[in-house]
This record gives sequence, structure tokens and C-alpha cells, in this order.
Amino acid sequence: MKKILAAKLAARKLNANLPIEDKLTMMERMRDRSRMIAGNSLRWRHSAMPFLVVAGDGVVLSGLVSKRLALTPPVVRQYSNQPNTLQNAETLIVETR
Amino acid sequence: MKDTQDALMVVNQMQADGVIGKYAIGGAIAATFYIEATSTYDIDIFIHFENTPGSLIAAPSHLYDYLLPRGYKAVGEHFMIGGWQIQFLPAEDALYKEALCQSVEAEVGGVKTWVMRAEHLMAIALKTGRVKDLTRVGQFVENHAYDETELNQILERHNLVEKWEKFKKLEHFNRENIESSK
Repeated sequence: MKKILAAKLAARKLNANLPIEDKLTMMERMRDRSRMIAGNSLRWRHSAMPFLVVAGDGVVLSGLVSKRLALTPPVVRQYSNQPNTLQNAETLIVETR
Repeated sequence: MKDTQDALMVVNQMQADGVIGKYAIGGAIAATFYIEATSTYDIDIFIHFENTPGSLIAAPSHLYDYLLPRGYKAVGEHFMIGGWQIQFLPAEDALYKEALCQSVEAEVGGVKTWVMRAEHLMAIALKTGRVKDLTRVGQFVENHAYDETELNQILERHNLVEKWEKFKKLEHFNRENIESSK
């Protein structure tokens, strides 16, 4: 641990001693990368897919539920007998019509 | 680095055209002149601005009148210039006024600019006191990137000695914890 921390500190001091032009170039890249991540669609609010797992089987309930906005990005869940199915990480609240 | 050069050239032109007076870069960009680079979205430009007493953001109409017709967009309290979000902030209290007056001349790829001194940046960060500000103070300490006598004088002038002492205790506590975890 001591060696790791010492190595990290040395690297950071090296970065601190770079010419300002190099550091500003790094900052511009970090800024662009942050913007790209912030603009990624996975961070947007997604419509929850009307999908329910019943006894291990996926059931699409498009005719039964209304769409809801969910706060979390979609994730891919693997079921043993199904291809990857995009759905929301949050538990869906089913609203019957 | 072209983005930063472009942004600073616009700010310098604003100064030359009399839109703003003396200015100094503060915040993360200014800190980068002394310590390692960190991620930020904006460039903080501190200016004297007499007409906005009590205003948190310097958003006078003449900044808009100058920049908007030249094609620079206003986004919230920022202006988009050269790929950066530029925020013009009033140097309104004694510490900021002093930091602006005593800022040092610097050059970025041939473009002249003014940057707050390390000791003022530390004092402002201590005063602001968010986690990221205190982290920045820690980076200054770690890199020995300041003059202790100068810093102490600034801290005394602006009643920040107590905050500095608290910060040093926190730093000491953190270092002891790191030591004990080895």
C-alpha cells in the first residue's frame, strides 16, 4: 500500500510539473470526455419498457400497462432461456387500464 | 489547448475594447497553473464590476451586448467561447478584490493573461469550503505550491486562520488513517 501511494503521488507530482500548455490540453480532453459521458443516452430518462418476468419468463405487457419514465438507465439482463432483453433496472410499476 | 487560447483571446479583446477592466482567472483553471490538472467545464473570470452590488453572477447587459452579436451563445450564467463555458464573476468581497488586484501575468501558448496567485486560490478555496475546494487546498499542500508566509498573511487579513487550522487537523487525521491502513 505504501509503495502504491508513493507511486501515485510521484505520478501526480509529475503531472503538476508539466508545462501549463500540456495541462490545459489535458483539461480540454477531460472536459470533452465529461461532456460526452454526460450526453450519453444511457444517462437520459428512459421510458420504462412494459416488461414483466413471471416465473422466469419475460412477458411483454404492451397492451396492459401505460408507459412510465424511469430514472435509471436500461440494463441488459440475461435469462437462461432468452436472448438479452433490454429493460429497466428499476422494478416496473404496472398500471392496468 | 487551442480552445483555451481562443477563449482568452476573446476575453483579452473584451478588455481592449473596454467591456471589462482588469480581470483574473480563478477556480480550477487558475489552480492548474500551480498544481495538477483537474476536470472542469468552465473558466472563471473575475472582474471588477461596480454596478452589481450583492449580485452573485456578473451578468451585466454590456457583456451580452458585446458577445451575443459576435456569435457567442449565453448558456445559463455562462458564455460559450472557444469551446469553454466562460463565467464572469464579480470580485466583490475584500478577498476576491485583493486576489484580482494582485493577480500575476501568465502566458498560455503566446496569449497573455492574468491568474490569481496560489495563496489567494487557497484562501478562496478554504473560504468556499466545499469538498472539492478542500481537496484542491490539499493538492497545493501536497505539491508545496505556495509560500507559507504569504498564505498566513492572507489568512490573517481575511479571518481564515481558524478554517486553515481546522483543515490542517483534517489533513493530519487523513494522513494518520492512511498510515494506519498500511
